[in-house]
Amino acid sequence: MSRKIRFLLIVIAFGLANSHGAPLSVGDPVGIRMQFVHPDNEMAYFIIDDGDGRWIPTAQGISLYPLAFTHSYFSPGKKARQWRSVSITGHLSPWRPAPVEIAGESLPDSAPLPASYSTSASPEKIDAFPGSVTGGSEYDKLWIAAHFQKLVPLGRLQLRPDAGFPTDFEIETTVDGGKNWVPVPSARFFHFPSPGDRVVEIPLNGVVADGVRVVSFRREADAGGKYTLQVGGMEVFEGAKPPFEVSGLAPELVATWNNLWLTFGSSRNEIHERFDPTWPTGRPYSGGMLAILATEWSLWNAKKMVWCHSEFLPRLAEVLTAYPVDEEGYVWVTTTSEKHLEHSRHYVVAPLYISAVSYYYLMTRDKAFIESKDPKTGEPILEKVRRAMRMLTDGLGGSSGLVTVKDPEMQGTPDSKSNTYWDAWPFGYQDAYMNAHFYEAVGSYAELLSALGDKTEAARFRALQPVIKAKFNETFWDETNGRYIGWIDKNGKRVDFGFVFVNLEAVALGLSTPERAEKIMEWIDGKREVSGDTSVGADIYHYKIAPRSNTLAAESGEPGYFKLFWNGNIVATKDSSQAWNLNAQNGGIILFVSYYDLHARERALGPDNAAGRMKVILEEAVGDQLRRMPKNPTIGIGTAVGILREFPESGLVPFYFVDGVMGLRPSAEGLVIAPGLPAEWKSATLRDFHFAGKTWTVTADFSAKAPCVELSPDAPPHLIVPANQTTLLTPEGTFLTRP
Amino acid sequence: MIGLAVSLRSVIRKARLRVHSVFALIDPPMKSRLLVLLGALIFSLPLRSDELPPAGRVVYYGIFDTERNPDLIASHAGQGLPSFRFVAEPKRAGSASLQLDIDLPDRKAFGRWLFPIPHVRFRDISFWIQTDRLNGAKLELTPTLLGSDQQVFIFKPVIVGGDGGWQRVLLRIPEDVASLRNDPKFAAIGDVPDASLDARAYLIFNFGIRLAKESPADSCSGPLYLNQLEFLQRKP
Repeated sequence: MSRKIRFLLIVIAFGLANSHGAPLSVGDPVGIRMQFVHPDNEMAYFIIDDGDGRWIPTAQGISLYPLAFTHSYFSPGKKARQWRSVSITGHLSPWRPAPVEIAGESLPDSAPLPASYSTSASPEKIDAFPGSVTGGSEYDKLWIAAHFQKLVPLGRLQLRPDAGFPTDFEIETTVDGGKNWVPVPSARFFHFPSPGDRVVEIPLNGVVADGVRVVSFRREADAGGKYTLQVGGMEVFEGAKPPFEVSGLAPELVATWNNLWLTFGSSRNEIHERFDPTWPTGRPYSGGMLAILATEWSLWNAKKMVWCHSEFLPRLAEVLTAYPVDEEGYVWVTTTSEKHLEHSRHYVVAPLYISAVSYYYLMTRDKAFIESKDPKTGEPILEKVRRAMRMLTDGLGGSSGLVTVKDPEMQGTPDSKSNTYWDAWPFGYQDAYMNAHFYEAVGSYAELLSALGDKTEAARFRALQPVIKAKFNETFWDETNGRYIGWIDKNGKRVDFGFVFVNLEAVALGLSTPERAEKIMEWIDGKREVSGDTSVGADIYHYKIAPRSNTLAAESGEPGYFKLFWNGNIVATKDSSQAWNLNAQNGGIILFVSYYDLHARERALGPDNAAGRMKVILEEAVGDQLRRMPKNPTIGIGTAVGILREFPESGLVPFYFVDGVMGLRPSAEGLVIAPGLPAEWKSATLRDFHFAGKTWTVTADFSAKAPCVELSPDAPPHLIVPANQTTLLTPEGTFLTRP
Repeated sequence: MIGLAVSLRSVIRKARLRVHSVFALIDPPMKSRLLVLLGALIFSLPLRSDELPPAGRVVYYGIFDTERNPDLIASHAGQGLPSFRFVAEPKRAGSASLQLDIDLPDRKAFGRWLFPIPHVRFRDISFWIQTDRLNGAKLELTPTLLGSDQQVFIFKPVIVGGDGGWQRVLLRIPEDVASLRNDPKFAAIGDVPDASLDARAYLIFNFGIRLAKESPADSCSGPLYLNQLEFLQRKP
């Protein structure tokens, strides 16, 4: 193919706006679907000219993929809407028409937030908008900031062009008056074309901040040889109220809690390679993600996506229905693969799948979902769940209280493969991690069966839970070290590398007695040292935001227990690239473990202790939103800390607000509301919470004496419950107090 | 003629109906892919109507920002580089510099610096380097671009150091390398794992660092400084 032809563009444009045919009204979300392929599929963003005087730029993505985007209008009429795409080297697509007609009455003008301003040259705040700032060279970092009187959720930022407009810029926000600034990844633009007389409106999706700034890292010299960042005006409009509100916690920490959800929960302000918040999202734009739609993540996905009724929820339902379950009851790790990374079968997926389906149904009460059928086999989802449970109880012996993995590849020996998410360690045979999740699944399944009316089977599974608990403690407790071991291999060898995550999950899931839970927390808190451990005392929280995954270095034991990458070719030894503190699974951290840490603390040590831990995490996040990926000095890539990119489970940490602070957990009878507020808080509120097809605002308040509902015409019902009582909200929307 | 036209119309109508009924059986994701393919076939157009940026300008750049934690941006030191950090001084231009603390105890020692970049078209890479604090050692830099699909492009090694002050390194991708993905000019590297490179739409620019043959010093240890990493537009 000639060089010229290689440079030809393949242009695909589907400007399919509003194909559903329903009339669109002022204020409604208006959809637009855009797709343009730049040469070499460069990263690109779109600009929508809404035909109403605004340019709305989007986040970047690979230009091969389509973007479905929504925006809204403030006035009715026929709008000559059009869009174009800009690659990050500045290649521009032509404008593509996408006209739209909007009905209804004009909305009253909303006032921008009152602001004062500062610049990189004059950090002192002034009332007049400065308009421009000039640097000494093309690479001087220049910025113009707007400061607000308090922390507010930011809906949209409008930048008005003047004689000039920046071509390369990004938006940053602050929650502490400008001491720390963090980027809004979706608002980073290269080679931004001149907007002419249009206002550039950048969606900020509710990021909570008391300041926002336009930052330019590089610019060309102007006609006079000066390097200037110039903006004609900068106005910010308040967005919808954020989901989490607390009375009694510092406002910047509440803001950070909300922003952590925005980054690692909904991930609405992140860059996603395929304009899609589910896998994959790669460097160099590593950030938060919504979900990995693999079975091993299915319970975490359900927790993250159901309560807020994510727009991607149908996709979760689709994959939950489609995951293959073989004749033995083994659940595949994805819709197309039996093995994790084509490497090893993960039997732990079965309990996680059961818990996910149960959680999804109990939270949504969606009959269509629970009656859905596998798209390939036509088998009802409930039958697949039953078969997976039969594998656990009958095939793997779980009805005795202990699951034993019989697969010859997963025998817990150094030459075995891993059975779990923690894929560097050969969890298997009698595996504490899997048995903990088996316990959880049996409880969830009993609730599901009960909700569906099968009280007999539900009772059978409820009766099994204490058997599993007793067997778990009998099998995995190590009295000498005062903690649970990881697994027992096929030869009866008990393997313990101080698995912090196993112990925290066991406590969080209620498997421990109070005495054992306390002992475990003493060890993890560094108050009790375990002889021989590599990490003891305060060093266990070396990374502050989460405890180390294990406290005994993998390389200190029998060789081969820790193998990673490329079919286990890299073995942790003292001098290897995956030695202690160099891998997230060997002395490093994975952030989501803090979710179980918080729950374990709440259960074992009380809400005050859990809130103290969360406060540490939030204080750390103020400065950088936990966008951390420290390098492994031996190979140059980040392997010691698991937070970004393929760790969407990081979103469970801010999600703790939902099922920890608010204590919202589904059961057969309805939604149990058992708040876990620390004593120093007055109240906590969760907005836009979805349960059984209804949307609620829920407040847990220490001053409330009894549950009540406040109704208003323009907002969801507001359920106020006493913070020190348990309330049950039924699927029908009634509530009662539980003892 | 009329008969032929009627027959042709009939054939076309039948074909359309058949296509339509087959299309209805295809699941939506596959349908979307087919639409993309059809769109590509139907709407393949030369770039003439679009605006192309001029060649030779900076199209992407590395941001070395002292206000940011190095862990937060896409820069990494690799093996043989004990640490890296941002420094406000010394600086070549307005922005901060990236400091790489290298340790090359002998002529076989090897260091590496990595910089992931998004998938972006460019022809030249330029950066400034300063090695004044390496006791006159000369370094051989072997820059490479690691692409998706396990491909790597290796530039001709460059020698830096010894003369003092800031030096500009300009690396040019040959004209006949049109794309950095799926290009036969790139060597396949079988030992690069799928897990780290496959199907990722970005590149890694990196350079290996070792003592040059002509280096008067047999070892060196200390900081070197980088600044103004720029990716320049390839010719259309």
